[in-house]
Amino acid sequence: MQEFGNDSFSGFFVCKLRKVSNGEKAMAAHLQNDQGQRALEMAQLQGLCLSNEEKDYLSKNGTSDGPCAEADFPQNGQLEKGGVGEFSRSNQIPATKSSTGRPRRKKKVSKIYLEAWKVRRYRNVDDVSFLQGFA
Amino acid sequence: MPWQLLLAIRACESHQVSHVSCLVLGILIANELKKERTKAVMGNLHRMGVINTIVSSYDGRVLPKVLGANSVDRVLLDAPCSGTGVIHKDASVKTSKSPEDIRKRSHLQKQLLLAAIDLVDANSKSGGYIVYSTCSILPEENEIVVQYALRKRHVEIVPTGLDFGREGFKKYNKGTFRFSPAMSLARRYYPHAHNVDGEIP
Repeated sequence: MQEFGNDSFSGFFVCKLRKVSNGEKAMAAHLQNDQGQRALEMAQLQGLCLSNEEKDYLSKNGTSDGPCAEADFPQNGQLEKGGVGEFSRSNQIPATKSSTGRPRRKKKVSKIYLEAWKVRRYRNVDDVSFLQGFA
Repeated sequence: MPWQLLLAIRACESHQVSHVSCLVLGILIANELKKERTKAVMGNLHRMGVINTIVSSYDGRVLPKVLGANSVDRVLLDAPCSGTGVIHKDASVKTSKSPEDIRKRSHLQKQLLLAAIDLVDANSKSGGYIVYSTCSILPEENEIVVQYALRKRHVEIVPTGLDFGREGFKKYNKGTFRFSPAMSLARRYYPHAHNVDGEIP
């Protein structure tokens, strides 16, 4: 900044901002934590399909027949209590039934997994174009 | 290009207004606080044959109430500043500005930028942009103001589209102020160093 002493000194500042729409605003609020961001990136990279972690889980429990099987995703009004598609708010994964028909003990999973489920709920929204900016 | 409604706050730089009015397909509202200066703006617009511009004289901070929130597609805010970037025009700014002057300017700039953001329609297909510019080199009037807007409103910094100039500061005063990493998309121009004319591009 030695040039500041020179009488020919001149300088300007230009910044271009873009206002974020309501949809993006909602997603931005949802993505305030890193876990939500990672979960969304994970879901988006795979076209809102299952992640490897979820695929592994579902394959071990013998409930998934494909990476994008519609049955794997909870649909509005189609949540089955204790089924694969059930979304639990209590930091627990959906319970499955053992071969004897007895419900398995619910297992603790990471928050990332739960965030992925939250993100996937946007699949039921008609317009998901606002997700594009977060790829 | 879709039809647009643009707003230029502090339109006393009438050459900017006439240039933008030529580029836009739509209506440009050129607002200038001081009525005396609007005469010069209108004279320049008439001389240039511009017919798509409305000249108004309001305080920029009340424009969201006058025009309504989310009412325009884009805003060009050439904020009033201390003028520390135009020493070649007035060398007295090197000694005439006090810290209190800078603080008051910075406060006004924050108010104007928030008003500009409130005016812009985020869902506009062709716009949703705000360009903030000053003729100052002080971070108090530049990066700190933009950082304030990032904190108060849902906006993001996007590339200016100009491939020259220096990046905006990401930290200032030995790390006392730390700005968003996206601040590098903002641009600082030093016309005497970049060999361009000393006006806002």
